Amino acid sequence: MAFLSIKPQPPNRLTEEDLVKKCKQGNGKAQQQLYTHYADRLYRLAYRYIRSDADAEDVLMTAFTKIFRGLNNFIYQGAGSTEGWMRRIVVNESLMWLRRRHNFNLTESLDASLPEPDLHAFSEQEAEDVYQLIAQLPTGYRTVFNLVVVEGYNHAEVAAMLDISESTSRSQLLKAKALLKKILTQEGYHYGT
Amino acid sequence: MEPDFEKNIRLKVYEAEQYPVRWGKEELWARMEINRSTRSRRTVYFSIAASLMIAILAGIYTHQRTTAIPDKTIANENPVHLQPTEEVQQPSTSKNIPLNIEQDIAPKVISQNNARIRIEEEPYISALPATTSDSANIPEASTEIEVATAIHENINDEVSPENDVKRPKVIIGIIPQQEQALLTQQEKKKRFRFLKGKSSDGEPDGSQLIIARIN
Repeated sequence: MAFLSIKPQPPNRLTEEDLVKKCKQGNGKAQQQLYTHYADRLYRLAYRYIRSDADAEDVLMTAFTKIFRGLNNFIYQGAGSTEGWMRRIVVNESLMWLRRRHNFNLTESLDASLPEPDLHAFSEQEAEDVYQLIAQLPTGYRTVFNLVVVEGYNHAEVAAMLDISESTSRSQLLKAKALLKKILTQEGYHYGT
Repeated sequence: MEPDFEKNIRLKVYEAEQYPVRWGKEELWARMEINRSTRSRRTVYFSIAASLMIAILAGIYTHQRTTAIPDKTIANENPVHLQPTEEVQQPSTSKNIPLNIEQDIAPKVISQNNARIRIEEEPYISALPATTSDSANIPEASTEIEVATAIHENINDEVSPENDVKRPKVIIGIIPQQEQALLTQQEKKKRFRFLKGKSSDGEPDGSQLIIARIN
């Protein structure tokens, strides 16, 4: 995956609401416009979970098929609601893809009394570095880290989504944070606690 | 409450996702278009195939209905094969003419519509009191009753009282099993003579009854 150093494209002429309306009417051009506008972000979202170009594309294709099919049931609730809805579909598709290939229950539970690693230094990195460091994590850690820290789900929800126990979810997150701290230390960043 | 650094990480990730990225975006759209057109073409083929299948099945069903059940056709043409209408249930002149059917009428062979049907008498049918004039006109046992097709044309035709008394008509027909239930036992006794039927090859035919209506 190669990143370009250009700024995001300006928004399209149609407003988000109009675009959704036209897509619901089956307008092919509007659907293409919706795809063009959101595909990059959603691709990077899928890649953050899948970590494979070709597989992320496959997941995205399935997700967009579901998006166009499910648009009739989608109710527009203001700016950003469309992207939020599409992001949820892509996350769900990515999780389905991961569940078929990875057993999230293989990680043993950790002692919950262990101190949680401080990720202040990590959060001070450049956005692109943060993205790349998360992508380096193993599948189990990365998935739980993405769901809890980035998407904002709690451990009960993550446990239900991945069909694991809450303690497994917590231990995965702890390990993910510990690994991130280790990577940053190895790369020479000063780390507190 | 979530730590600040977690929020910071989230914002950084969202920011990173806004950056354009080089990947097979156009190719993916083309793949989706191909998939969609293939699916729609497949839907058209499936619809045509399903329509053809339904038409063929409907044709087969109609063909079987018209050719496979000749008995039903006869029954439908036969006016004795009737729903019990109000007119039938109304008291007619024949109600006043008592007959001793069991004793006096014992037809063994009935020829109907040029087809011979062997019938046997039902011993349990109760007989009504007979009069001398009635019994005189009733055919004797083991005779053949030729039933004209014309007789079958309308069971509801009222017979004039004179004819009714002098010459009771016997109408032969078939009542399907499901319609027998519509007649009460009393109506059966009063209006019809029920005889078990046999088909032309002599095999008992449990699904049919030969009835004779006395006018």
